[in-house]
Amino acid sequence: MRKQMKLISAAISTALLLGACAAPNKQANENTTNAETTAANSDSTSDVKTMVYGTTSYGVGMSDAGLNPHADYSGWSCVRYGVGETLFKLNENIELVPWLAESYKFLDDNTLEVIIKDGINFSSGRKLDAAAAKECFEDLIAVHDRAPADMKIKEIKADGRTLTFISTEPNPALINFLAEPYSAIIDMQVGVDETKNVSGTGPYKAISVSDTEIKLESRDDYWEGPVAKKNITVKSITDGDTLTMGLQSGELDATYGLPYASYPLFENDNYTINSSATSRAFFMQLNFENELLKDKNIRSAIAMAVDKEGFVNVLLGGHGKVANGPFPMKDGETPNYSFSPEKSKELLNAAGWSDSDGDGYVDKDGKNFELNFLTYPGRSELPILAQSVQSNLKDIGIKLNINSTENYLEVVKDSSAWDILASAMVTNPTGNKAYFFETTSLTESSKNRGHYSNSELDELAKTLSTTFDSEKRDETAQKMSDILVDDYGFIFVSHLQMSLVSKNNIKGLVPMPSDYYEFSKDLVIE
Amino acid sequence: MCKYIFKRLLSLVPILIGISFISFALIYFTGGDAVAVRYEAIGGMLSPELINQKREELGLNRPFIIQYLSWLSSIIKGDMGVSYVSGKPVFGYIIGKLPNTLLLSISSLITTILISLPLGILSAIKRNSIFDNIIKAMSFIGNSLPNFFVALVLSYVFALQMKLLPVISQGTSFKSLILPTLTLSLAMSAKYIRQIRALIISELSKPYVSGARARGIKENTIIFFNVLRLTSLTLITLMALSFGSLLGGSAIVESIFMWDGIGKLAIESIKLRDYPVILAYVLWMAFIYVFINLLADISYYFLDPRLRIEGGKYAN
Amino acid sequence: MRTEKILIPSILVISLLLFAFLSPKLTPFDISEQNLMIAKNAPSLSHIMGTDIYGRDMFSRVIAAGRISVFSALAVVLLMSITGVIVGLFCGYLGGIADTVLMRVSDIFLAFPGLVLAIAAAGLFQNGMFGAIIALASVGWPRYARLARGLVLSTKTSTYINAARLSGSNTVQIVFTEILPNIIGQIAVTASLDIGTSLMELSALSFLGLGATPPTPEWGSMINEGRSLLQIAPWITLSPGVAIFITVSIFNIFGEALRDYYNI
Repeated sequence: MRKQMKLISAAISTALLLGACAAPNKQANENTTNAETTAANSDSTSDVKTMVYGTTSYGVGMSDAGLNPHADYSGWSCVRYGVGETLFKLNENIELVPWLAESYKFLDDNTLEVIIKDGINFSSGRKLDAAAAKECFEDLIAVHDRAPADMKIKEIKADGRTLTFISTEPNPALINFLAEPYSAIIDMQVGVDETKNVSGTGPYKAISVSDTEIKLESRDDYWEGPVAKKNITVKSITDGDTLTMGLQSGELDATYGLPYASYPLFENDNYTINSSATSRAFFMQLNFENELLKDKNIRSAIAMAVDKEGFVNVLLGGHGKVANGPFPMKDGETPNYSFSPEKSKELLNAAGWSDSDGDGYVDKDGKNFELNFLTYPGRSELPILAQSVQSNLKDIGIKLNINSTENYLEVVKDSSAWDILASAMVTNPTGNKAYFFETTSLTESSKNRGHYSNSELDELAKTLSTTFDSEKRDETAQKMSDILVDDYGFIFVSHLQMSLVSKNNIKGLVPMPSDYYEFSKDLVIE
Repeated sequence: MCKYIFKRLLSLVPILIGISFISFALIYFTGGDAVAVRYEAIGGMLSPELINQKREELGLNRPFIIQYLSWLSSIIKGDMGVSYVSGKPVFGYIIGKLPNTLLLSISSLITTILISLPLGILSAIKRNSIFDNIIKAMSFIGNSLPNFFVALVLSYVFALQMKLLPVISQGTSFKSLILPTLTLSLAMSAKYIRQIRALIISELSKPYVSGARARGIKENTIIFFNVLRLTSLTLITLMALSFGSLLGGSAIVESIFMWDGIGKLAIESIKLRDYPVILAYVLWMAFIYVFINLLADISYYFLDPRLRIEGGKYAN
Repeated sequence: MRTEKILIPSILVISLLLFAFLSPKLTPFDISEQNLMIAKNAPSLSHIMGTDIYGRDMFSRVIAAGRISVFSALAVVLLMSITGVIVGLFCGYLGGIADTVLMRVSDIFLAFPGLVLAIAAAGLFQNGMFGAIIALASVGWPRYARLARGLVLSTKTSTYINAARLSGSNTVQIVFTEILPNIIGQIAVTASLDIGTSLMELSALSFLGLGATPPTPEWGSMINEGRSLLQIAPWITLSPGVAIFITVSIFNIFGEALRDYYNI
């Protein structure tokens, strides 16, 4: 009996223990909810309003948790949420313009001189000068994984507002990397605290930072002018449908990353949708190990059969931009690709492909024209694109076998396993157009999965890597882009349109093509 | 008693080692290149040299058995490695989310009992009545619906149409516990009701019940004092077993309702190929399950006096 | 009387299997035929389950998915029951070290709770439906091994087995001709009750994106695809859900009838 009592008391204490484990957490969460409601309630009494912003692109899964620009992709969060700023920024045409910098000059191929604007303070109160920037860049080079290889810096000098970078080799793209979010300038005297909070020069400063939430408040000493007083809570929400329902139920005021299917729910007067085409391109690479695809006529037949507008306007609900090439079209530029299934059929016929057995697919020597299409479901647009292209190619008699797998990197190694690879990529992350070609389409490029090779393109890339003049750079890049498009080795279908959807009392929440800037000083909660 | 428990614990050692081996081998032989996949997924890019450097840092270039042994020796010390994605220690990560998963599992188990015990008993007493048939039909339906579908329908009805409950259950408030609990316990209740009904019916046909009836003891008294006590053993077995399916099922339900438990973490980690976290998830779940079964075994020992004489019969 | 009770469920299951097998040929529309003009249309007379975002006929897709969903579930059950039974038969009959080792291994597998190992395995295999089938089967076989072993142990010492052994039959013969027929009923009942569960588990894996992926028509992945449209076009989610329900119901009815038939 006694033993039984012992056991019962043991069981009870185990249960209590479990309960106790659960309880503190629960309380903590309730507290935050309470705090939020109090904050929301206090709207009416004080002037400080709060915006709750749900986003799919913040958190450990995106490698951008925290605000420390010198770790992983957290610089994106630092710049996106208006905490940190860079020397240069990318404007609405993804062109570099000075931001914290006043002016710059390449003294020679290896020396870049940047003058920093006067009168800028970190949120810590420290003044931004060249010495502060130097401290920050030196830490960046010391700890970041990508920056050292990108920037190729040998030495940094600081004198008053003059910051001088000396590189190990001619590096015209250095200035572009000064606009990459990892180059956000933070006060290294304050450093990075254990929550990954930092002190930047932006219009907002973070009060608390965690892997799932950031609380921001507006600064009243921002250098570019007054910031409307407000609080912002950034919440990481990994599931798009939860985001939709949260905005509908009012638990969220604004969102980033709504699923395409949800937009119709918000296309009314109660909500504001602000969009911008980005340089994230959805494109197909053709596999040149496949004999059939070495024939340019076959490639162009495939390219002309793809209904880009149907994909963008219907399947993505108009939330995308038809692509002309790797980079998004500028305002006023019109698409000049041709969509013509008839012409595709003619080209196939000319190459000896026709539907002789009446099964709906063209054949030659008794074999149907079949292609393996590889893609991955991680980007929700890609499986949709796959099915859209499948239907398009069926119209001209080509059978497409789709393999959509997260394991595509393994599959892609086997050249015989795929013929077309659809993927997504930010083609112009820093205004340096050479980047796209270098990574995907030169003979030696690491992401040139289809082994595309064009000597003219390779030559132009070499020229570009030593050209400093920005106009000439643009010209060369355009030439390269044209070559790529005309060769049909790559088929660019569309560019992602980033949309920020908010309740209609939120003004000034406008996305930019580069995807780096979300909260500006002009954000207002009415 | 101590001897019995000690024996049971000892028999768990090879099982636990086996569990760790299978889990580790699974990840080792099926996982792709964690480093490359991760950087591609977020649209970034690393040179082959940088990838190799990262692999070296993570110790991924060593032979299988070395990696296993070094991993095993570190988990014994309570170190489950560092998440590839967040860079934080996995152990703390999991421990932080464990209470949420246990809370959901336990609340589902309690709800299940609250639903199925009375309905099962009533069904058994009123055998073949209309009530019994309705319950039968309901439990049949409950058995044939996958829980993710039930979850979607529930969230559609209660959260979106009726706006009764919050959608973003990022916290673990009572309100956000309701829908996931309901989802998990509906399917389980469907199974329980039938088993409880069958159990009570077979128990009611036993001689001691007719004896009690003959002595004029009220039917309710018989059920509550005799039958239930004797069926408790089977119920405990059932509960211990369903804890296992709950732990698996909660992964799906947690990720649908954004309940911040280990299951949701596991699904996210699988998509991100965060191997240390996936490994830790599988291990923790197995450990918990083994532990629960151990508790069930020990409780038999006390509830069923026959076992005490035979000693470790259940220790097979 | 006993036979009659199992007749109707058997007919149901056989027609279901036939239907599933022939399903790609039975669809009123081509399942990959897109018509963007009629995307997301609500159920109507021509499209009784409505259309999806590509304007494809949902009814055709739900029917076509039947083959993959049903036969994958059957594959899981067959794989795990055959492997499990073979292991169990020999362990039970031979005993000794092989028995001990294999049973320890099955203990380890049984120590993993429910879907946990399957989720991890399917997620890591990343091999579509095939990976999911292997994952579920490799988690499920020990139950059958245990069951078969137990049944063998209880029949092993009976007189007719001894008689067979005396008459010179070898082990394999005895196991397959004498023991297996005696325990097959119990195994069949367990297996048939497992089909529905396997189907739901497979669709759950696909729902999570760890099994079949679009455009492969599979009920779980179709539900996932339609999920974000639950408010705008609920039929895209509901139709495959109903299909799962009906199919699982039929298998469960059959399994229960079989259980009654064998009086287990």
